[in-house]
Amino acid sequence: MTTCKAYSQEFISRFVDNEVTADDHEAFTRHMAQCHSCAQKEAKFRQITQGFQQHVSTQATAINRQMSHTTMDRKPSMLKRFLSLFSGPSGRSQRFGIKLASLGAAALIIVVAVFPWTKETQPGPSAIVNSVDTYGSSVMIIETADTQHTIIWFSET
Amino acid sequence: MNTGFKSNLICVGMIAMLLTCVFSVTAQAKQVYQTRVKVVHASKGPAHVDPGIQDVVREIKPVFQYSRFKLVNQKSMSLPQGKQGVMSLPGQRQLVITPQGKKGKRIQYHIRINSKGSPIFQTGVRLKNNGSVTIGGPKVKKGVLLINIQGSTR
Repeated sequence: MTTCKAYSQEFISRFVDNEVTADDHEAFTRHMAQCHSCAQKEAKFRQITQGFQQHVSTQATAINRQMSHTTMDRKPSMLKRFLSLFSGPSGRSQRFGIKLASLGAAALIIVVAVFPWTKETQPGPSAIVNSVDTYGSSVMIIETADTQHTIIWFSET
Repeated sequence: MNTGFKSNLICVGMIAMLLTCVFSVTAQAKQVYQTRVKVVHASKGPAHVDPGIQDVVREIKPVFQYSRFKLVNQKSMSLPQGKQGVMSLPGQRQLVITPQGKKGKRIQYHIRINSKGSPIFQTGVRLKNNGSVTIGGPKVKKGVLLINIQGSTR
């Protein structure tokens, strides 16, 4: 096979990659019509380029598929799943979330109204005496100093 | 926000309010006053405190010089408003206690002590919820009676 020295391999590579000027592109196209050697080189470079592009495309598709699988397989945390009830993209999940929250609030109100766990802490004596009637005998009302406990003491006649 | 969502939200809200009202009305209607009475005989003599009355004795001891405390009787009653609770006391006496409802955060009680069928003492008190009052004075066997009344409600 004869070797043409008119165009370098670098030029042919740039021609295949469409990186030459329009004039050079036209001149080389005309040259290839007459030069079998350059036409063969151009065909070889084009084949290599196409093979490389195909390989890159295949690899990229595989990587994308793998990434999407990984994302789908990953389970969201409990908190994220719970929050998604309220902020889910579908109207259905939002409705369910709002209903759940409303029922929770109602249950909380009921529980607080019906089951007061906390002991009431009130200032003052343990008992306020409104009235006393001892039918003539003496009476003494005492409030202890430390615990403010109320004692009503009466002397039976 | 679409119409269906709005109506659902309103519906749930109304159910919640209805349930709250029903429960609060039921709680009011069924308000019962847990009333616990401990009758203690206090006297001077060898120091002794019966089990179960340490809390009553702790309140009384610094004020009166009694050293011997014996639990004579105790009774727990669940009394609705206006319902009388009756308990026998030593020496042909009788305690009649009536919850008269809540006034603020306190429970109002009317307390009466009868002796041989006639009243010898009566008082109206407002107890702290879970608080108590001690009534003392009736004489029994070289000592006195202490009547501790505790009231609580929801």
